[in-house]
Amino acid sequence: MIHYRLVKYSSVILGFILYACVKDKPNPVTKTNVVLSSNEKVFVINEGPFNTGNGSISLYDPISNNVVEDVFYEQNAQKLGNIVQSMSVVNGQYCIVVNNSNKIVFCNKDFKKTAQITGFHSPRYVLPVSNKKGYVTDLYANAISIIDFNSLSKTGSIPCKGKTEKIISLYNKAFVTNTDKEYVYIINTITDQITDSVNVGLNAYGLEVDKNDDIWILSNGKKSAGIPGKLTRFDALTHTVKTSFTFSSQDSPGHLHINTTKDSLYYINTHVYRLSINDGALPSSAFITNDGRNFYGMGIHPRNHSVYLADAMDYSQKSTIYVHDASGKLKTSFKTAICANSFWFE
Amino acid sequence: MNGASGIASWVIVLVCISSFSLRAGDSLSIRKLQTVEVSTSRLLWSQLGKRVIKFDSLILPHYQYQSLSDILSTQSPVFIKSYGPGALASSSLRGGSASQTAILWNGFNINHPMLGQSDFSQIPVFFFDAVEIEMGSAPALHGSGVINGSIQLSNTQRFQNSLKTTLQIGSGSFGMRKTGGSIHYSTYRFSSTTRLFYQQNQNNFRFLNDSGKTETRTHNSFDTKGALQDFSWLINTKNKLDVSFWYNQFDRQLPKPPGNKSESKASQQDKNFRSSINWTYFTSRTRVNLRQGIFSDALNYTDSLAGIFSKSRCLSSVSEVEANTQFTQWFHFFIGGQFLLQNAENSNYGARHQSPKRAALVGGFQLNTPNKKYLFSSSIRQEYSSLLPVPITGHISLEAHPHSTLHLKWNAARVYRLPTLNDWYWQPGGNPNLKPEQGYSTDGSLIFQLHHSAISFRFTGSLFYKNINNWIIWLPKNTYTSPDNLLNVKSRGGETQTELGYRKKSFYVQLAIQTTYVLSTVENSYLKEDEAIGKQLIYTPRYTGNGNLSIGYKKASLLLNHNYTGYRFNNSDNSTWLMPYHVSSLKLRYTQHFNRIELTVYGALNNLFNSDYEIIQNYPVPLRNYEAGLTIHYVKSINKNKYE
Repeated sequence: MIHYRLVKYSSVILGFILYACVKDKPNPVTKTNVVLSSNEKVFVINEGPFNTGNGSISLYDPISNNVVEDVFYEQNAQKLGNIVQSMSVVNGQYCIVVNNSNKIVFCNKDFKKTAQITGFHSPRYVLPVSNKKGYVTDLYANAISIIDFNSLSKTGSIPCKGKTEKIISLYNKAFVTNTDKEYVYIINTITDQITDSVNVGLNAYGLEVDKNDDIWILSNGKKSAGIPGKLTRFDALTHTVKTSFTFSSQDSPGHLHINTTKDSLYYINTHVYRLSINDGALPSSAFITNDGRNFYGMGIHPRNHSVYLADAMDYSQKSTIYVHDASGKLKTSFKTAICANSFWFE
Repeated sequence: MNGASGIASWVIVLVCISSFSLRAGDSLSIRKLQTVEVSTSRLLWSQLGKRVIKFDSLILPHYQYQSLSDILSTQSPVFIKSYGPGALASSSLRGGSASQTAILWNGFNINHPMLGQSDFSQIPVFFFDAVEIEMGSAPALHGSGVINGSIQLSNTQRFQNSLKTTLQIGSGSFGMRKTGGSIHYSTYRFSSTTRLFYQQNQNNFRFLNDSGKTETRTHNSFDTKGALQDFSWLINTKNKLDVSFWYNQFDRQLPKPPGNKSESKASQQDKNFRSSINWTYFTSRTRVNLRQGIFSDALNYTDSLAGIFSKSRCLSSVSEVEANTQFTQWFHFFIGGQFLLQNAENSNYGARHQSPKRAALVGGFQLNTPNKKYLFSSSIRQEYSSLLPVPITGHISLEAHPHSTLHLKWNAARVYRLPTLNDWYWQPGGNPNLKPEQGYSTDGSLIFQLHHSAISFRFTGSLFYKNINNWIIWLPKNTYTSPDNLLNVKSRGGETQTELGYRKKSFYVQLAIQTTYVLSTVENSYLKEDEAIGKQLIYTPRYTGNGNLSIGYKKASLLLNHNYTGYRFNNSDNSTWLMPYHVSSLKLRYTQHFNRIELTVYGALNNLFNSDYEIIQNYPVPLRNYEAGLTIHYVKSINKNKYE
């Protein structure tokens, strides 16, 4: 009797359980045809999950608000690689640095892959110093690589201990930050030799050049050692420090950017801050508050001065990009792929 | 005391311990504790009201020279997140994170204090007589981090007046070589077991890359060595002392994701030294344990390309006292205390770093009905930490045995997990304001079994529910990442295990099927517009299942195992996923006796049907591969006239 009752009640319970179960097969992603309505393009660089996935480049059309989530895959039917770090344009070609895959990929204007250069340790950013020659910063090479854009090969290196990051050029010099050191290093781009350095504080990452040809460096400091971050300005010709602002030891500033007129700087320190290059102190109030968002990247639109902010969420889901107008007011938002870190505007 | 009466006294002592353990811990359990001693009664208390999976004699011998990762991934509801053979393998049990499942050795939680989890690929099954999975929470008895359940590793000291030696050698695909050995020596009051294990593996397997071309995994070798020593003394009729030492070293290369042109130079070395000493005082009604565990966990990571030479080491000391007493036939009482001290060394720990101290008081009781058909137990724990307030926790459980064929279990608990040392101190990012993960869990099981002549049938069905708040995740904070209590996660689901067996004389056949359904979703989040809400946790399959066909005839045995793993999402918004996979293996053993020597030849064919799959994206696993080996046992009774 007990067996009969057991079977009966078990069957009812089992029926409820099976009914409550969720279908395992996920709904397939429906692909919609994206129409890009203008020549204005915003590329979003998405790192992708570290080691376990692929990064991508998203293409956003600000007019139609449409997004092609992985434009490289769409055009080439292959993945770009692991940790897409940065993108720039070199000799009319898109130049994409894929950090953890140790390569630089070149694409034409249709985003068709045309070439790639390998042999790096952990490449970060590319700086073309001429039509023929470029520099590649690197986290682990203890050197800056020299590449030849004609032969698409690595032709040499400039020894520089530590983790080299952002790099810009001016007056036949390249200025490069190094997150392991307190210095910005200055390279003669004719001789490929480091000729000088400027003390800008520990963990310097971002650098920009303003309309007076002054170099601005944002260093993060080292919170655990009580070393605060700094914003430093120095003369590109004489390498003399003109201004130095010190952050609180609790701050963690990063992501330095400048507008097209090169007179206003933006950076993220939990919120977004803006200051004029002529200001005598760091701003005390935020230009855009984070409102619960975690900003992982920023870009300033070169024409309308819109501020593009990337919220990487938990690193494990699609990033949300928030677009604020030049006054800081939120205009719109859109989704891209995992870990959006920066933008390229056309 | 003359010889005969002495032997008789020891027999009585052993029976006393055995019967006390049975009464105190598992009086309603259908399992038979055939061994004479259970090292810690707390384990039996915590198993009350819960489903416990114990690998039986049809399964365990086939995995004796494998890692814990191998047996758990193919023979249990635990989903092992493996990055490949010899690589990191962490667990997901009932939809929880790896740090919410404890690994208990001799009753001590051996999860790495800095990481909060264990790497199952580093633990050889060979070192243990029993591997048990306790499904469900027992925070009051085991403390922090037992939200999903625990995996319990134990050895049984047999006082058999014998000398047993085992030597094993094995070889397999991809340059795998392994050897192991054990020596067990015991008298009727002293026992010593030494186990040694060594394995090296080139691990340069071939796999199909994204383009469908065959590629060889490079910079992927590993080797592991270890030793485990157990001593046990029956000091007199009321006192017993157990001392254990376990050293494990695991060296491995860390490969780059497939397709990378440049070679990785990264490697990792783990060194673990664990020791425990346990004094037991017992009478027919009372048992007192004093335990001390000392643990050293070192992890050295090197990447010459990246210029990273990271060394970390954590020393832990755990002191425990507990007393069990049986007031009447139907009432048992338990009280205990624990003191834990940790001291970590890591260059990434900032100036805030201190040595955490924790103390806990635990109490509980057990009620049996006179007919022993119903049992109720409850426990409570208050822990104090030098770092943060800890919630009071406890559990209640019920067991019922209304009919000889039916066994019902249920338990409910308030659960918690303290942040790891990395969560607290890692610089940059470590967060001193973290709160413990905490919540509630409950589960129930039904066991139905029938025996008819040579046929046996057993069905186990379980349902569970958990709701965990303050779930810790690491998030971007400008230029670094930092952990925070951000999520509320709800896990629910069910498991079944069905076994049908036939045994006649020297022949047996058994078919066993396990299924698991887990729905583990983010219910609330402090992230703005979090798309993960309502979505399944990453790398947590909703559906898994495995089946075993075991056949034995005289000295030969065969095990055919098949596993199915359903879709796994690899993004928290569930926008991308990995495809389900099936994978099978065939294992064979043949044993021949030559007087005192027992010779066993074994072989295994893994990934029988050449399944091409990934457990973790971008981390390939081998196609079809083999392993074969030989084991020699030698048994000698020291004095046949004495107690065995």
